[in-house]
Amino acid sequence: MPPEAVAEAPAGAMAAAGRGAAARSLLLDYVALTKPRVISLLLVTTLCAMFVAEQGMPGGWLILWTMAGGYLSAGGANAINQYVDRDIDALMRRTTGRPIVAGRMTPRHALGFGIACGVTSFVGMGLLINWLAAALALAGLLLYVFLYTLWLKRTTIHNIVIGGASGAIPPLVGWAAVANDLPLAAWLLFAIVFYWTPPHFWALALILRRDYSEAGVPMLPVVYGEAATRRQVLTWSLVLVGVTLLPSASGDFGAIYTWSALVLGAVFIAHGVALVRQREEGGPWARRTFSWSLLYLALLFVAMVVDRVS
Amino acid sequence: MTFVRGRGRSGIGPLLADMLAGVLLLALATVLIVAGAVPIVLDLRGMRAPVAKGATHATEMIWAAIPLVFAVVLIVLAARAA
Repeated sequence: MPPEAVAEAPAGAMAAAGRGAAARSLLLDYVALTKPRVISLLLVTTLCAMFVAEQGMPGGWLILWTMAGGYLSAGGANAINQYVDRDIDALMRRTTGRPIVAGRMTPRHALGFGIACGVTSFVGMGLLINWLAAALALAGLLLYVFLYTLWLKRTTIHNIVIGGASGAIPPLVGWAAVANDLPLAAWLLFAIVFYWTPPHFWALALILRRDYSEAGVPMLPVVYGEAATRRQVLTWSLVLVGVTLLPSASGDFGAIYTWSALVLGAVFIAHGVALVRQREEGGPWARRTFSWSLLYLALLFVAMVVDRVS
Repeated sequence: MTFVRGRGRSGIGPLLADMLAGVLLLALATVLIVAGAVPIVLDLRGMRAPVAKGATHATEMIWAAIPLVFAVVLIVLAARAA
């Protein structure tokens, strides 16, 4: 081996390693654009709705395609959201590390990725599942981008109330994927996620109030303060628990779901009461309520599955 | 696709028990929704005009009314299905 080849070998290996690290970093940025942690709970509601609609275990391929299509649709919406919101993301500590704001990805690149995800989801779900599920997933993306991100987010304190409809569509997608139909029971699952969003998101907004204030986003605690937001968390959790009982009242679920909804709902309301009674600003109950809301929704949907499958 | 409470049971007794349970659950759901909705509206009425650009008190009330009207529709539909 000539001496120059010996010298080049380590340099070549280093270059290859550098390219590998860059590719890995780019891949992680694409994943970050989709906000996988946010999507995971959406997919839980989709999957559980599939089990409820099937009254058992849906086919493995159907689950796989529905989960993949749901991820691409929600991920595409999140990528486009980061393109639109890059100006305010730069003003909030929580979001300064996002790929566009940090300069690791151009805005147009992220927008193209988001649109590609949405188109792939729509066509793929339409061809592999059915066009109702595909249209619903696309509707979720369009509502999130146009209704929530572009219109309501910067103009009203009810941004996450009305915009929450986009996050409530995944159970409809799951149900439609199995049944190619949307009966009242499916819409009641939509309603549960829809009414869960305000107390969940306002608890988070209490934690991130300073960030939203600096970015000029009119979240409820920024516009009306913490005390009013705490009251709204409690009152919306009352409405939420009432709505969770409607599927039982209509005869769609039995005792397992009903008792689960009552017990889980009582704990949610207790969190709301504790939040209202909390005297100091920035106390622990906002974070506790937010954490409980995540667990609550997952447990409630699992209870639906156990009720229908058992 | 609808399901029935107490599936697998037959006879007039279980049927009446199911109907009673349905009515009670509907009543409880309605009470909770109203108990939450009334303070939501009252709280909004007492709030000053929002500072958000493009928002007025009227638009905020309209946005707040949509989910409350939706809740009423859901109660009616659930009652009809019960």
